Amino acid sequence: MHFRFEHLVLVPRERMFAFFQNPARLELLHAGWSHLRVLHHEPRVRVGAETWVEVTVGWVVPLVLGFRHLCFAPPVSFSEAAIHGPFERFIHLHEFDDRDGKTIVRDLLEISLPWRYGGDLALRRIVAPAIHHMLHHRAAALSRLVGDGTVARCISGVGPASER
Amino acid sequence: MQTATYLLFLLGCLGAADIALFHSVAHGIRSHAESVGELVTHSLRGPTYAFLFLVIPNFTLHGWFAWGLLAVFVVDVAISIWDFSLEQKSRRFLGGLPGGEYVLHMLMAMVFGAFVTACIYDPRVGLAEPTQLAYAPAAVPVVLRLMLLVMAGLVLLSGIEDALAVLRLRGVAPRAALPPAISPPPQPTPAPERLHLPRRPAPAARESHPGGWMRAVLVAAGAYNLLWGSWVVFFPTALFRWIGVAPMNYPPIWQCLGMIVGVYGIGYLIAARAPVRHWPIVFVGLLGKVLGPAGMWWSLTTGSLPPSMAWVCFANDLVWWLPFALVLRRAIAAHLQER
Repeated sequence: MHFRFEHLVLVPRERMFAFFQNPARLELLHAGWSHLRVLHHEPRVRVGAETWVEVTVGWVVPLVLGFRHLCFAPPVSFSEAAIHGPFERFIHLHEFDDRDGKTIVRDLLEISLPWRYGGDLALRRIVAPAIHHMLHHRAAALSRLVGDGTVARCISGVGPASER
Repeated sequence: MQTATYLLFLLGCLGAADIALFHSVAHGIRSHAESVGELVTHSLRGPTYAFLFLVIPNFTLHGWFAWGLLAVFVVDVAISIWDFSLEQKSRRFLGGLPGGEYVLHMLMAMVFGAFVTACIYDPRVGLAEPTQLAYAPAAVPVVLRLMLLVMAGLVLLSGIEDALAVLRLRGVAPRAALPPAISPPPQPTPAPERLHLPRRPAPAARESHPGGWMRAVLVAAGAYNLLWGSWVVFFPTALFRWIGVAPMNYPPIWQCLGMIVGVYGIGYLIAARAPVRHWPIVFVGLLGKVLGPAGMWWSLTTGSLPPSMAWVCFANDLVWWLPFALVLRRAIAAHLQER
């Protein structure tokens, strides 16, 4: 199943990409609406680097997902594929388009579940709504982080204590 | 065994939730190299619980059989202690043992204690009685006994999957032991124009040993058949003494059956070398394993055989249905692909 989601952010593309290239900032993007914990990551995205996260599903089940970054083309795109977790295939391509000094942040995902975890049915009924929910909330969180200056502080190296 | 059966069912449901939610979906420990030790303990628990799901609702155990049941409980407690001692290390890389799983384990330990107590105080488990194993269903709905039978098959399959995962993960370097990640300056790589990225890589061990699980299944089936067949040939009256029924009038017929079972074992070992190519051996084996229990069922309902003979079908036939069917399914898929 393919997903495509995009939204406009009032930040130049280079700065937006710089914010996204640190996996620790995933927790900032998910704060307040989803319990996400970054378990392992490198300081910045690079080809071959791994990022492991834990997403709590249904309040009690902590789903651990491991990703390996497949491509890195600053400031245009980067991508990762799942190497651990219940998904048969989970590829996420992040694209950043320049639009008159602003950025269109675009997410392209390709996901499939093995039959033993419900296959396409579970993907359509459970995973797809959760992905849509996640991407909408992340867009709102990103706009909020731009508005309150968090994105600017992170890029200038005075971000949250967890990054320093 | 009424109370014990209900408690065992509850224990089975909690265990199934633990395996499905935490071991498989949440942490995926069957593909996690640090969890090999934990997987070994889980693989041992598979046959233990298959035995309990089969025996508790269906049989009375007296004498040495009752002591054997107590020994199974002791073994299970030892497995659990071993499991608990490994879990923290096994799950460290995955963020530690989830709180929900910890609570579930506590609940299971409490239910297990109640279950063991219910068994010990049940008159159908007679430690001081003369040794006898008799088929006598507990006073519970037939549906519950059938569900426990299904659970026996599933927990055994889960144990086999854990054992296969151990074999697959042997030699895979644990992530914790990998050198610390180096973070060089980002090197740009071409961005893909569309989302046509390579498929998720399969584990290296699986790539180098395609169909390894089929070989493991057939080697296990071959070894089992050879052992069973040899036992029947060399000790033709042992089984009858063991389950407390009169021996056959013509032991050579029974020994001949043992010889045929053993010869099938050689067939399975040959098939293990190339399971897809030798699928007819697997098919004939599965056919025998389906028709055998059917004949047993007919004999039990007509009273030709005593009920205590029925357990023979479990280890000889029922547990092999699913693995053999999966081998055949793989063979069919391979042949269709060739066409």
